[in-house]
Amino acid sequence: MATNSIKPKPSFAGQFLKDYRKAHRLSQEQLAYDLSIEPRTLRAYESGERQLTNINELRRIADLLGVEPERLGLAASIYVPRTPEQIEAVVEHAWSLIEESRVQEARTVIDRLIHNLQSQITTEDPVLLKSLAHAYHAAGYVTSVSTRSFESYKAIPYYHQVEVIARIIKDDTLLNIGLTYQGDMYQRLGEINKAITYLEAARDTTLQADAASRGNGIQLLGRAYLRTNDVTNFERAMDTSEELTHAFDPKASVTHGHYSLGTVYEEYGRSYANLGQMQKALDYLDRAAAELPQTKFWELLLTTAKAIALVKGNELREGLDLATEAAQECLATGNIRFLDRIYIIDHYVEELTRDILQMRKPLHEAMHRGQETEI
Amino acid sequence: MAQHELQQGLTHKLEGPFYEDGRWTASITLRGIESKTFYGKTQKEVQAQMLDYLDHIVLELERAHALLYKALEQQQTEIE
Repeated sequence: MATNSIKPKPSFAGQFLKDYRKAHRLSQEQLAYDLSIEPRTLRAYESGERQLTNINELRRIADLLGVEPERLGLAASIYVPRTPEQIEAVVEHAWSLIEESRVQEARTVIDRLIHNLQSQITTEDPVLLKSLAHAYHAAGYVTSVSTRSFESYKAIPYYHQVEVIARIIKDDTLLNIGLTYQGDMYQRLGEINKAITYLEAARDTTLQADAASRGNGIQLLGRAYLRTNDVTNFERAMDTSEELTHAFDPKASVTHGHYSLGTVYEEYGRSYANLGQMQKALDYLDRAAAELPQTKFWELLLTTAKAIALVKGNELREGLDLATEAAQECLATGNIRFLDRIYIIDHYVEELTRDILQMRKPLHEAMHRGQETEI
Repeated sequence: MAQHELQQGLTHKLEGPFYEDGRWTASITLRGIESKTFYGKTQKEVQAQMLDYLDHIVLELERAHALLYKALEQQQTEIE
């Protein structure tokens, strides 16, 4: 029997969510998870079975997706200040996107949040200031993950804001983060002395900082020492950093999992890889793999480190295949920071090719002349 | 944590061919890593093996460089 039921039309926002999901190739389950709603609720919004018109909910969704509220049908002229809880929810969402290697989306979300927070930076409320600092921390991190080394200066203003806020609210943990990551950005830019100044300041002037931020800072200080070939201080720093990984709860870490026993092992692995000590590098990378979460971000980190280890250890075919695969994954996910490692490999390959051709020349000449002289 | 041996000095070395124990031998070390030893009845045979080995590596490197270049060039285009 035919029915006269009229198919409901989705609301403006419901249709937007459907279009957004398809454009980002997300399943209804994935987007529902991102928005902290039930998949059946999202299905109902998209089909028009339920109308999404609640202003607070629309604003929350706009923040989580990093889109202008108008795109969900909200009036553009109404600016509503964000509460610390609202800011923290978006910041947490951005970190979870990084964890899934959805770097471009994370950047969109956090850039939008920072844009929305510009008028709130003058607040004197320490709780709100702390949330603002968390937003700047995430913004700096997302920026650094989505840029090549020579573009790292783009992340510095965000970390500087973390430092400024930390000094206002006298928060050593945030101060450590602000100083540490400014130092790390200078390290990426090749300004090693400046990097070490910042990183040592983080270590020496933020004594009340929590173990996670201190350990993270010291690990990055170790990396900077190694770049100056200061192996003694590298090892000392890494020892301390490794010890500190046992002094906090990783799930509640201020570094959002970007410092742990796994990251310390990866640091060792990559350091040995860069020095051509393949077996040691691979051993440490195996240990890192056992410790780090099995997410795309960490898998890519380990893959790039392993590629360096293999190539520099002369396991060229395997290493270069891995590097090519990793390069494609970096591009697909927007993780440009790890692409730097592929450039390191590419540069190494070019140098090695040149060296081998030089080495080959006298051999070839000797063969050609048919001489039986020693080379 | 045990002491770590972080050493620089990544150099190439080509040694031989030498005649010892009734055969010719030579070795190629790339970037400070023991890479390959060659043995043969004549010096020329060892040299030919070394050349083959180096040519093989160069081919591998060029193939990889072409693939990497393609991927990295794509990134340059995306940035522009």
